[in-house]
Amino acid sequence: MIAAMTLLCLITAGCPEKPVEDVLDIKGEWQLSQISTKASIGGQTVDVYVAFNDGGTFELYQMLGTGRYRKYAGTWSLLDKVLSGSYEGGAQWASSYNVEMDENRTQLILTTTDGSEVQTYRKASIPQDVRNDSL
Amino acid sequence: MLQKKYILGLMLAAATLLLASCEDTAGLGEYPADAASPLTKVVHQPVDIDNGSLLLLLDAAPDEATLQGLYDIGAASVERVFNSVPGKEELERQFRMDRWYLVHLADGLTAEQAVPGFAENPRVELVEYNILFRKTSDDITYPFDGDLTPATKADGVFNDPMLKDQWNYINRGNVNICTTCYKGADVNVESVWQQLTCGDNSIIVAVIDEAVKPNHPDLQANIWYNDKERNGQPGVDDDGNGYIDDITGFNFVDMIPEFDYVTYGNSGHGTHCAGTIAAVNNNNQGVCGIAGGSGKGDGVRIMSCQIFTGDGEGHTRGASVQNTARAIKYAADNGASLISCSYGYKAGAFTSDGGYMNQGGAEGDAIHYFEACKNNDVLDGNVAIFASGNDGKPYAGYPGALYDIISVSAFGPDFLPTYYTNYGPGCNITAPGGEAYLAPWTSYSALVLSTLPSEVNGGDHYGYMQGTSMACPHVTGVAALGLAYARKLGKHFTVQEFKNLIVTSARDFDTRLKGQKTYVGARSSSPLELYNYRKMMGSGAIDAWLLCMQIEGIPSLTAKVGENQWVDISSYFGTASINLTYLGRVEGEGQDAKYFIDIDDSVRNALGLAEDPYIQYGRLWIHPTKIGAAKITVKAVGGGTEIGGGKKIGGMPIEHQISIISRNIKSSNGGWL
Repeated sequence: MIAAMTLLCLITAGCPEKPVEDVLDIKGEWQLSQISTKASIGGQTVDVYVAFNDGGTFELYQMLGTGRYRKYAGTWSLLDKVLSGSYEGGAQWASSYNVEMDENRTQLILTTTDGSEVQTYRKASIPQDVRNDSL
Repeated sequence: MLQKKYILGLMLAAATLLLASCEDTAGLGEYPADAASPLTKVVHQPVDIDNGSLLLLLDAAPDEATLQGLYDIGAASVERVFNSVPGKEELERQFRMDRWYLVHLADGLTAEQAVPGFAENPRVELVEYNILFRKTSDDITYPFDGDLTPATKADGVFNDPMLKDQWNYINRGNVNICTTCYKGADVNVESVWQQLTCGDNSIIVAVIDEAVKPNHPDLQANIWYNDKERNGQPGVDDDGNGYIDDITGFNFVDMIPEFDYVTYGNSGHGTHCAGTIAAVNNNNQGVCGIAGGSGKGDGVRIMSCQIFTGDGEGHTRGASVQNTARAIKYAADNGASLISCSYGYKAGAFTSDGGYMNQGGAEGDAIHYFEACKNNDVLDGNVAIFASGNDGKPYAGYPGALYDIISVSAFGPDFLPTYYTNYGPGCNITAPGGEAYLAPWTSYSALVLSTLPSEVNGGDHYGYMQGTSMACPHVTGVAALGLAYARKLGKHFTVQEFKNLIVTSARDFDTRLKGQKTYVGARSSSPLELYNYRKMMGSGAIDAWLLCMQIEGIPSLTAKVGENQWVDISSYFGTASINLTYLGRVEGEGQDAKYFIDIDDSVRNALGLAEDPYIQYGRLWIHPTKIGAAKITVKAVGGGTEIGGGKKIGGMPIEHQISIISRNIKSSNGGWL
């Protein structure tokens, strides 16, 4: 029974919080600050905010190049420092990510499990106008 | 003397017809280098003309000797077609506004008889038959037969009681309109009104048509006023624009400031078109207009340029070349950013751009002069929008068919082509035009509801009409909303860029074009074979929301490194992107054809392209081998399968610069994670 509860806890995002030293707590709002080296690709700005919410849901606001922020939502789970998730509608994330955080919990580093891309996020509130004006 | 000219006239007319049946060789805007032959000087054919006048393009302003020479060969009077506006002299010269003259002929002399004499005059570069334009509507109005219960939130954004009857704006698939009514068969403006813009009172739209009733209760607040004349002296040209007392526009039929929308033969056509563009919104009465504002004085402004009226016997009068051309120049000179032109020549009267424009007529020059003038903060010029015509022909009527002018075809509330609409080459985009005889045909609600002068509509201010005449102001209204939104965002575009945005802000309905479309009543024996319309309705159905999204800016598309993959380009070219013909080196045929995109080494290097990208099945195929970003210019035909101009009638060249980001990962829905 205990083993079953533990397994259930591991595979769901709604697991009761564990002590900080035991598990990464990525909940909160984040802004992409670096992609491998910087928050742009080939000179095109990439602006991404993500909020990992309680209950294992997330909201993602992205603006690639120009135009309005596009909103995506879905669910996430963190297991053994590997973050994975899917979008509403069923699409899977492009990759799962190895997760690192700094001691102050101000920086979140997501590295694709194949190591091909490193995304660095900083703690930042999602601006209200980004939320309100997104599509 | 007249006898000799008459014989010459017959010979020249015959030769002209012969020439008109041949394909022209010069491209659009290429005027003949050698205009020495009298035959090459004649513009148009002597069909549906004002036989008492001609238009002449002279080599320079005429001196006394030139004038006398013109009088000697049959001119009773000679006057400039266009007045000159201080500060625009250079542009006027560029488009020959300073050299077009109207000649009224001496009594007893017809245009056909007079043409040879004028064509032989060495000071005359072109002789234009004064063809009369016609409206692109059947001119029949139908009374409003709905209910006038107050609007509720469920009816739409505004409180105008008839908004719920305007399926052309918000179509919820009400089968009482027609049994085949299709949800979403509209211009998709509701979300634009709710979230983005409802108009901008600095944007002026000229309706080149019958007069717009200026004190119509649902238009009055959005009528353009010429303040200098409004606050000036009666009988005085207070603003010095060459027109006296032109307070809300001008009557170019009779060249007087007073409009005539009452005389028998007026249908209310101009007022109907104006209502579609900018009937006042949220005023608790009547209908809505696409760019009619939110009820706070923010609707775009309507300028009335009257070129049609009634003759008192139930027929149309007016729309000569000189008056139409004057109306267009007036719009250009007095602040209009858009002209809505629900008129034209019969489809087939001209079969190529060269045939219509090779030598250039006065109205063609006026259209291009209009587009070269700048009257707003957004564009470096203006945009003319024409109806494609109601002949049911597989090509558009001119002038709208010109490859660089937007021409609008019509769909009904069933999101299918209408029985009357022209389609095919020269048609650039499609909009609601309304349609009779759709089952159950127990009401007129499948037509387009808009404003009408009560004087010609049994005392009612509203009624239904159908035609590409009605479709045209839908695109004009959407374009006006686009200008309003661009101005709000501080965006700037060239005229060509803005036309690209309009023509590519389109939704697909080709997938619906199969089988037959049937009718009841008088058309029950004339079903449409829908397959004939595939890829023939321009770039698709105009979509106000897509236009505003394109104005905001389109996000970069993402591609994954290491794969040859397709990328959805509908955010750039509309959901009808699969129906467009793209330009570039072609491999294969038909639907399987690949259109390779011209790119340079900087793009290849930026993305490490393993092969040149191409368009197939309306999608971009690209194979990056490294992380990077680049912009790729994709060119297509806006309506039809080839670009018009010269010998052809065809589509408009459109292009978009597509931004591509290549990453090592990619989700199927475009999400970043």
